[in-house]
Amino acid sequence: MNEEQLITGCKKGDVLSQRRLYDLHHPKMFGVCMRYAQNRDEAQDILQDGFIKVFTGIGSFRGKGSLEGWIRRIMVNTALEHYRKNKSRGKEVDMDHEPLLMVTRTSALDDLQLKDILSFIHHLPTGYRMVFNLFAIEGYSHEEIAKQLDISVNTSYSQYHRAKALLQKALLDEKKTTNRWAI
Amino acid sequence: MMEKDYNHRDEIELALQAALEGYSPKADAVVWDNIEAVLHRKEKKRAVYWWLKGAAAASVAAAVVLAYFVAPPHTQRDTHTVKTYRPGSQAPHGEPTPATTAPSENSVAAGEERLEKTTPAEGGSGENMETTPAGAATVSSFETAHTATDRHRVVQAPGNDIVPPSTQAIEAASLEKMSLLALPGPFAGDPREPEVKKRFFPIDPSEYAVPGDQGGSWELAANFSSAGSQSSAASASQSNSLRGDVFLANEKQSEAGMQKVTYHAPVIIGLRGGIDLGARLSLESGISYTLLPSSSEGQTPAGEQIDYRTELHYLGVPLLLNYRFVMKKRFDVYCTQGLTLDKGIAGRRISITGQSDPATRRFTNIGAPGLQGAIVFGAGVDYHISKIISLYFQPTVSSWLLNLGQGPNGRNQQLAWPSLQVGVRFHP
Repeated sequence: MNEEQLITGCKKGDVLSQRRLYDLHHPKMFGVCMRYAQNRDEAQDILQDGFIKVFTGIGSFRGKGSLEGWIRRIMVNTALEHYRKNKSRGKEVDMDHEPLLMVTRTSALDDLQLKDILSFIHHLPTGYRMVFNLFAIEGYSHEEIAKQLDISVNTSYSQYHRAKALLQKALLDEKKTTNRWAI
Repeated sequence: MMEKDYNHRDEIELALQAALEGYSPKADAVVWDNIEAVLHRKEKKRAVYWWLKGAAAASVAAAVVLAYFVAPPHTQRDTHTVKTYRPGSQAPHGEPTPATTAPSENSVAAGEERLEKTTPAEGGSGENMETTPAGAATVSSFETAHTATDRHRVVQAPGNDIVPPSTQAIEAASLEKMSLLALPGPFAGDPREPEVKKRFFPIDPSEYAVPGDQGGSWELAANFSSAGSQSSAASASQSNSLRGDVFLANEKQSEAGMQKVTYHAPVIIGLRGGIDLGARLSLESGISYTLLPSSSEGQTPAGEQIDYRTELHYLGVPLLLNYRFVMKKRFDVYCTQGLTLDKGIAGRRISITGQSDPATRRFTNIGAPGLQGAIVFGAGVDYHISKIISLYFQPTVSSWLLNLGQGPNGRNQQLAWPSLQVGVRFHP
């Protein structure tokens, strides 16, 4: 069954097609969700809500772009909705009050390990994490981020650069530690 | 000066993107199960939605039809306040005279007494009045001469007075009707006007006045009893005793000279629990307590003010179908429809005599009202204080179409009865 047939099946509400589409795309999308969520449970909630939107809204997919890109946008938007919902309930964590748990092992930028990056991202305060993901990974501009998160462009810019500085500092500290033990 | 490039990306972003490109963890199997369940439910939801719409439309239609055919007659207001007849005369249009229409009497709770109509000539001796033993209970049901179904009971606690309409009030009310029926056009000022008017409105107090009656009219008097004794408010001393039909206590705002009854906001408290039929649909039942208060006021013949407060207590069992259309973490907003059956558990009347402190209060047990049933529509908010308990706040409109053993009360006097319900809801 090719992608076009899958889409046609999903548009008809065929459960088998839906299952195949989910199996095909859910690991990558879960990776996206993991970057925005604070933990695995929250990431699974986002994934679930996102795929429900995919299946209920697939009728609006015209096939102009890639299906993966369309699903990915839905996942990111769903993650932002979760963020906004939590923010309105006062669950957002202020950066000044939460100590950052830095990456445990990074020898150099070239040697960035996946789990180290994820660990770093997960330990960013929520607002910073959103900006960091959207700018560094998704490729959004600060204007777009400001609009999505209902913040100013300057706030988006400063939050991203502070997060980036923290990452660089963590990398540097880790490198010093590695060198000391290497002597 | 160069503009700042907010969106500049360097190698760290590229490295991050590359590192995360292949990140594809697997989610738990339960995620797909949940997705499938929600999608399947959404398919069902459409059918349920149409079913709900259909049920709501059918309920409204049933309510309207039932209200038309089954609604108690007192919802069709009778604007006649008092009808008087000359003793021994034939009532107009072949209606039986009150004297030939014996009132039916029913025993009721202790301490109630009779309302009678006497001529002013009776003199208040009470010798022709039916006496009520101390503490005995009688209620006179007077059938009106013009409609056999329009029956009104006059119930009075011992020692308390129902003030009858004054002679002037009766006359004024009747004359007001006469004036409303004044003939227009060709009959205005015509010498035949009284004849024609009589055809249309035969009850003319002046025509049916008792000969020799000082006031030229009739007077109503209540039979006041206190601790077993009776006294009459009538002042004349003629042995003619007549029963008449009195419309009392059915009107929120009665006409001149009649007792005024006000229905106050009810108090409804409930406990509810139910089962979920879907993500948003639930069937629930429980128990509710209702207090229906009403008040009226009058005067004793001595001119003293009496205030009455009647309290009817009910326990009810609702059966409701709820549909939650907004579901938040703490709040649900829902609409509901269903049926409720309320059984009267107690009733009492408090009469307060005297305006100065301390006022005299008398409490009379008037017995539990019967059974009432209603179709219920409402919308409300659920505030979840825990996973299994929530507080509900539910404005409701109900139509009390089933009235067994009920007198007039706030609920059966109108087709749509609004109320505000609060209570605790359990979510097992």
